[in-house]
Amino acid sequence: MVFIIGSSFITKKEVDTNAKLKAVFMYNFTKYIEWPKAYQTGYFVFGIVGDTPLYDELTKMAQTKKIGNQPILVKKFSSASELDKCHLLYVTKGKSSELSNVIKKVKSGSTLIVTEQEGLVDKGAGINFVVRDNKQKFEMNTKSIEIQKLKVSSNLEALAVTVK
Amino acid sequence: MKRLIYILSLLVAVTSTVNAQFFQNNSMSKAEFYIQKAEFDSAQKYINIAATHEEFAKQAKTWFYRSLIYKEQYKTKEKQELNSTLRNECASSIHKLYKIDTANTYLDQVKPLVKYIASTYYNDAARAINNEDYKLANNNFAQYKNLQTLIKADENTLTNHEIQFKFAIATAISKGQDKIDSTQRSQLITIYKEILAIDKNNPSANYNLSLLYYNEGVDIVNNMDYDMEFESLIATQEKIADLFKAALPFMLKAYESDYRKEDTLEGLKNIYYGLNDTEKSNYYKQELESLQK
Repeated sequence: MVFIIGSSFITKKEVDTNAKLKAVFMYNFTKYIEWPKAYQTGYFVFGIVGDTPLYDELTKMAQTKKIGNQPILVKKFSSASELDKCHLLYVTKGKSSELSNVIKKVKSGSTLIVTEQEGLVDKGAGINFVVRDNKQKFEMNTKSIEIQKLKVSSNLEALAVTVK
Repeated sequence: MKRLIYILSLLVAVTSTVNAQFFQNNSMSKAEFYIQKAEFDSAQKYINIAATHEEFAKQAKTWFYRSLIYKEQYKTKEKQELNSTLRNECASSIHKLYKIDTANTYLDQVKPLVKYIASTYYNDAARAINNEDYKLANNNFAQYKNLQTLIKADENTLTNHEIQFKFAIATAISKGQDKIDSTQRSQLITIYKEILAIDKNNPSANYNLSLLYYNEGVDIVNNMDYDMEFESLIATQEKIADLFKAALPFMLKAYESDYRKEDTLEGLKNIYYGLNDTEKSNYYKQELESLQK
């Protein structure tokens, strides 16, 4: 009689762990920020500048979730020049150098700009993802958010690692 | 009158002792007699009477005979049973014999018997795994191991058998599937840790243990609801990071052992990615890509 030993496990790949976590963060951001009346009807638009697995994750989220009563629409832009109206605009690390162009492009609207590069919270981003102790955290710049005519809850400030 | 009663009582007491002693002596003789005649039911009866006697209980011969008788009884009556009482009695007699027989009178003679009984435990450990009775499998394997230790079997062989046995249980628990529940997961973690306690560099145990932790983290992420509250999100993220951190040293160990190189590189790439360490994740990603070229 011999012992039967089978094959080993395999790495699970069903989900991009970081993208899913960021999507959950971003959905939560919308609960603590109030957009002006003009932005409270129609689609709630998540814009993404650059390539990131977050696009697929947000698209998946859009199939089942709403922001308040607004259905979600996810748009992808390859550069700042292509931008149109967004509620929340995510600028990928690879497109961080375009942040100043992005800000110029959206300054007349009410867009929450979210980035993922150290230092960008000081350069116009409203929220910036940072990694602390191997975990996703976020910094906030209340001024940058309010310039976009958005109201931010103090509860969100309390959850940020730094608030400027 | 009182004196007479006393004498009579004394006489009865002495007679009883003598009778008991005779009966015990007789039991041992009878046990020997029935062994020679291969009538093991009777032999079993008389050896058990003899074994209760203080004097015989100290003698190696008693336990040698008892081992012999119960082995034969097991072969005749319970060979197909995975949990045989007769075999367990045989094993316990063998252990007593080894404890008592310091003069080494019977140990050489009993060795083939020990080997035989040990092999039946080994085989029945495997059969019990097939029946998904892991408790019995563990008991049978423990009996095998204890008997092999008595006869000073080769330690490396015994260690390899133990590792194979644990892997076999792990295989049976996971049923070759990746989707396992939390009970299975915790059973598997225990088994792989036991293997690593025996052989800390075992590549397969390191790899599998790492994946159990990593995959648990991935499962949690998969099941996260997008609108979970911030407090839960932060607590969940802590838990996921802890699991990925737990996975890391075992995957590194498997990688250092050159075990399933592509899979361990894939594992390290994903674990570091999950830990938001892009630099290291990219390092292993590049190594994986160059290996696949």
